[in-house]
Amino acid sequence: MNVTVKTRITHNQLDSIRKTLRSADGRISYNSARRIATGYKVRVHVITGDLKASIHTVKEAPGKHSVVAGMPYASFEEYGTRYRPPHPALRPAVEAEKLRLKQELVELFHR
Amino acid sequence: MTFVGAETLVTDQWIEDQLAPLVVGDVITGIYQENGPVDAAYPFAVYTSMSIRDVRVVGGIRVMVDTLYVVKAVAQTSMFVELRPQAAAIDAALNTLDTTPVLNGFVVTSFREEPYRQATFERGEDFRSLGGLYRIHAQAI
Repeated sequence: MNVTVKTRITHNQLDSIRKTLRSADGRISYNSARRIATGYKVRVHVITGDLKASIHTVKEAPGKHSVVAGMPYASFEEYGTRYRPPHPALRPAVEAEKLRLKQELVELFHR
Repeated sequence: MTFVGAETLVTDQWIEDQLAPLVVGDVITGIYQENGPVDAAYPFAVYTSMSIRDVRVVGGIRVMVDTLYVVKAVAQTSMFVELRPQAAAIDAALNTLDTTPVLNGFVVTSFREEPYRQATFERGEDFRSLGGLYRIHAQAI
């Protein structure tokens, strides 16, 4: 016995999906990057405040945003060094955002 | 009944248990949390929790914790390659299906999510760290 499954996606539907995704991806990545930057700022270990003040988001391409810490010692703060203990701030912010972003993408595809 | 935060202690204990044979086998000189003591002999291992999140199921029931740890070998050297045996041994110990129970709980899964390396120059000396970021799921009992 054979079972045949046919799927048909019309051009109009694809266009609609493409338009929805195109308009949403920039917004989603921007909002996500902003939430990560905020979480990073909330958690970051503050001594002088320079690192906290240097945290910002950058639009690299449509739908692609980066969270940037402008101080060269940012990774030393995050992971620690031989004599300095670590103060994780960016990683926890990213981890916290993962679930929210996943949920947002699921909602987008259910529209 | 478990107490709050018990899972993170389970994870800490599990990491120490997994790495203990490396100290016995003279691969590393010691295992330290957060940072090695100033007078520690090299190479040693350091582990730090980077992130801890609860994993819940329907009804908000907390079933385990999802943690991310950085575990690295540290040595006073200018060459990462000198830490290759220690990093490989750490990876073999932690990237494993061995979920041997520890006191008050057990680790469900542990795998390396990404490699880690860092070079620092402090107090006039070169240091290198080599290891990985490990995703560890643990449950307290």
